[in-house]
Amino acid sequence: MTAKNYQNLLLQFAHSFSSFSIMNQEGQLLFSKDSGRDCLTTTRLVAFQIVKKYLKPRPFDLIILNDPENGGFSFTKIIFITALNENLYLVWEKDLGVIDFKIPPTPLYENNLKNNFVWTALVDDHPEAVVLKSFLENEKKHLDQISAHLENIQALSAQKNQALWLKTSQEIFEHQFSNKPHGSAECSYRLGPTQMIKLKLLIEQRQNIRLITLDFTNTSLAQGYSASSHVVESGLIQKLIQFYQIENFFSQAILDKIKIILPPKSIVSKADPRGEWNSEIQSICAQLCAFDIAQLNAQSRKGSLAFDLAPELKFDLITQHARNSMTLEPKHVLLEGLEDMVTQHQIRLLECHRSEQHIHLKFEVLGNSQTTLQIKSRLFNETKDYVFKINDSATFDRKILLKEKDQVQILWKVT
Amino acid sequence: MMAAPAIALYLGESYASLGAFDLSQKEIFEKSVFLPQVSFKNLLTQAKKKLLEHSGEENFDEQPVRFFIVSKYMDRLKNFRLGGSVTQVVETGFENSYSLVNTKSLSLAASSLVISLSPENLSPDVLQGELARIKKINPDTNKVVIQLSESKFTKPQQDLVRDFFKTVEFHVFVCSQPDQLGEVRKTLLNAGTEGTKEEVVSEIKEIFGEKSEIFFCIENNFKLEFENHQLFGSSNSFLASLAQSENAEAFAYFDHECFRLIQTVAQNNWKSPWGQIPTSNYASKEFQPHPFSEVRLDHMSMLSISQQQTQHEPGPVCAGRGIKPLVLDLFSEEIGQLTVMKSLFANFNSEPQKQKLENHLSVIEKGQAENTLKTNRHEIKKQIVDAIKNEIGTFSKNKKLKIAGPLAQIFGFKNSNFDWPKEIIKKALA
Repeated sequence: MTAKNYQNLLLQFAHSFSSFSIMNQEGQLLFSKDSGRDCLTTTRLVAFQIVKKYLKPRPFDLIILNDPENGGFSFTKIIFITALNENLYLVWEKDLGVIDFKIPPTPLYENNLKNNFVWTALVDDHPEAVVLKSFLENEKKHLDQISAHLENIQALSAQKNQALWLKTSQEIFEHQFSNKPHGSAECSYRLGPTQMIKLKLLIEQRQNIRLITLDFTNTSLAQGYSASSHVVESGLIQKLIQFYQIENFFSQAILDKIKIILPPKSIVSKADPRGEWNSEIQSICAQLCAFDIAQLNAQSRKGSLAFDLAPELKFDLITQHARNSMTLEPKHVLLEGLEDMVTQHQIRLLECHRSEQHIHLKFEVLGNSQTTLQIKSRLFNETKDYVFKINDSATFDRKILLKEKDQVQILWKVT
Repeated sequence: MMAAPAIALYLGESYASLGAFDLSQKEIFEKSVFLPQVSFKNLLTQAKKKLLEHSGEENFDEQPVRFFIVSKYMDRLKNFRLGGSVTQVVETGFENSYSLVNTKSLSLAASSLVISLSPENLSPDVLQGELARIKKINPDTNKVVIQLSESKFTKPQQDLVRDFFKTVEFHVFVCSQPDQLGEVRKTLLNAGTEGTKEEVVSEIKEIFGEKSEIFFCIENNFKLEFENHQLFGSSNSFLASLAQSENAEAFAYFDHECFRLIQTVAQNNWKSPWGQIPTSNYASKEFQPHPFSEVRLDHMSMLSISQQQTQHEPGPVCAGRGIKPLVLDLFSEEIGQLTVMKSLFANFNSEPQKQKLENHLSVIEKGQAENTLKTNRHEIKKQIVDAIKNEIGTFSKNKKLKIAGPLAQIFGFKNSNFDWPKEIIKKALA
């Protein structure tokens, strides 16, 4: 098998899963892809190590978890871990809005059979049992389709092929590394009068050793606002592989060249029990990393601009049967499910206007249906270009129960 | 239904396959043309000539010719913003509302051609002033989409707006549910694609006369009356019905412009490039790579296939059209044997074209970086075939799948002798 053939087999997984990682028995990352708005590569690696240590998955087992303090990202992001064979493991995640509790590593299927005890406790007694059952069974069906290609799995798990692939991806990284600038850059972001995230990027080559260091030394200690280290790492790594344009070669050979220093119990290393700030802090750190890379890559090093955080607002509108994700960024606004909520008479549009540079949205909650607005990321200051109000008042609560006739108003600049 | 001469026509994004049938439903003419090379009007003229020769001029004029069309022609619009000459009349506060939920969707109307009205300020003078303003912005604007809610604007007010634009010779489209953004998009799409549909219809009528009856396959039936947006699902609904008739759950269809898998269960919402539109459609998934994707050296000097397809114009190198090798060119030997491809391209796979293609591909192969990922065209071709077979195999493991199309055999699937005009006329007869 050639390295190109091996890569093609890996990329076939990419057609089936939008975000996933593949590892071998030793825990070496063979490939990883993140295509959603959250990055989870290192989170998946941590989840895999935890499951491997405590549950020792065998082929045809399927294990799930979502605990943000133990290899998870948030309650709604369910992480699936399976062994495709003895030397090939697949980890992927999918969002499911109806889950709002912690799931520790739990074997859903053992040797291809449903774990009845788990299904009864987790699924059958859940108020949204039908949705949950269909979600989990769909993922299992998806896995079965992949598992049917025994020949491909055999080829991917062969040690000789894995060694060739890791060597190739290392060569590619070295080639790309040598084509990009070396040096250092640093920046910081103040979260308040006393809190700060500081990141120094150092890219160096010494005696044929290539190393990228991301150092968060001097970042403040966590005071109720923090994220797990693996969450922060995933965001940083994504920015680096994009910079080196090695998305299709992302393996352990590349991970080994990245050193991330995270002070213990700091904003960037202390897990929050619900993963409340994960999305937000990952975004800040990824932006800091992108800024440092841009500084390093800039033609002129003189007069470098100060770091300016890009505005971002992410929230979910949760109704009885659906979780609708809304994302507002400087270049893109995506309000998933908003139209369905209008069609289902859950909300009424009072204003819905897009001008050359702004969007204006104002809607009113209808009926007695319970709607919860849950903020996932709120990275902007109220200005004339950015407004987020509930009943004409700016709000900083993370979870708001909306009542009938409550009005939500958004003004957002889109460039 | 088949008393008159009939023409069965498949109108793809880049090619047309036409079959002409006489009063006894016998095929008397069949031809496929690559539209960037031979015009649609030229094809129609050839068909008319054959029908005239066959039936005699006197007999030909007695009955109007009936056209039965399955179309994928509208799909050529899927990469474009539409509605450059479409004006919107909206309630104040709802300007360009359709584009707000996903700002990356393609636009359906010029954002500046908006007339905002409130029930209090609506009068003929206001409309006259607004018309003068938008005519200054775009003097060619001639279509209007009226999106005024019945709960805010009275019937006389709605009539006033509609009649005003009819008087100034605008083509008027009314959105009955302006509070539903999908409905707004649907009406804007109807307006924005009117020209493309009219282009096809007017060319047919120009050659075959005003009396011609033109039926389009819409939701699996041939219809004279329909909304323009429904034309986008014409080809998929036709293929889905063929699969349904064989109790298959999907149709894997392969021709030179697309490799795709069409589901046979209709959905109520279409995720279009312009946003969600509430209309019946059969979801389809394109197999990768696209036949018009370019074979090239990537940013790391490796032989690869581009993610984005190129335009259908100019076409593959092996057909003497393009200068950049495409996925189709990798399969030039195999598709050179197919009658339909020879019909489409006069010089397909001729010796000079073969030589030209060989030169292009060897330059790319030799230009690769020296590393373990170095490959060649044969390996790439094998990977494409394996990946498609793999996907088909995964899908058909537990489901019945119909596989057909002129290019199905290049992936090792048996030759189904799929012929668009014959399939269309069979359906029209039924």
